[in-house]
Amino acid sequence: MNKTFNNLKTFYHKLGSSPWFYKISGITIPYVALFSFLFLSIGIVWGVFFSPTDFKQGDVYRIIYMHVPAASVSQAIYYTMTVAAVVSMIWRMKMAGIFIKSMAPIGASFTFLALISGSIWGQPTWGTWWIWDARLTSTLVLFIFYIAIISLYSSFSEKKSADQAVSILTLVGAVNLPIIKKSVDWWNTLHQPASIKFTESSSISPEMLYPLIISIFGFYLVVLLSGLMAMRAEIAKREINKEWFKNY
Amino acid sequence: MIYDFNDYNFHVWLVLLITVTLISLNLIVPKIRLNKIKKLKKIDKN
Repeated sequence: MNKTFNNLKTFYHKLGSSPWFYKISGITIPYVALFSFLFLSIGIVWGVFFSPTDFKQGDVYRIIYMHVPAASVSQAIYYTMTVAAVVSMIWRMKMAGIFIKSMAPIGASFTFLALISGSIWGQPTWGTWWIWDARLTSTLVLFIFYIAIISLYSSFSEKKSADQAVSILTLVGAVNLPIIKKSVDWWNTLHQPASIKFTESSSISPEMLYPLIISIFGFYLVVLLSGLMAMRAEIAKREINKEWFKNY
Repeated sequence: MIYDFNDYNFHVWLVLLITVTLISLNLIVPKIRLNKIKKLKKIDKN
């Protein structure tokens, strides 16, 4: 128990070292790329082309294989950014700031994908591209927070001040996360409640569910891959004049 | 029944296109940024 805790502590301290992260991410990126490509292509191809047609919606329901994973990762990214913001505020860890800076554009792009795919799906099924429904509005707020974080970061010339300001803004935006999650339960919304449940049986048929789970996993791997790549680029940008980077 | 290619579904293809574009951008942009910095590093070394 004590050994595990010490190992975790060592790993946490290593995470704070940019040369270590730059080296390790360089080694892991090819493997993550391989698995993310594998899972994403299997999940999407299976879902879009080989899963059964929905008896009510027809083929248009196949948007689910991109919409649900995008919505899931868009919130998960913000959760991880919130943890990084806490770390950045308390321990002033440089890597936490780099993490938030690198993940914000990725989170924004997946939130945009969730919004646009939902809108394209809503047009033939709900008869409208957009409605000020609680789930849609709270997701739009999430997208606005991502854009605000990116904009706030670029308005600072000094990285340390930028990291601190962005961390505060990230923590403020975290209030929106439970609202997104609970919006379909708290309000009477047009958006349906979750189809995949961990505590009870899912309301989606297994032939449709399996490719969806693979697709979700593929999206998480793609986020990990793009996050590692973006963080490497950010480390390189910040540490271009450091001795370790010159000799790498 | 699997997807019917004769019954062209504009909505699904549009979302698929946007998804592939966004994922590609997320991977290409940091790659270009890093390559630019690596080039600068090389120039600096020489």
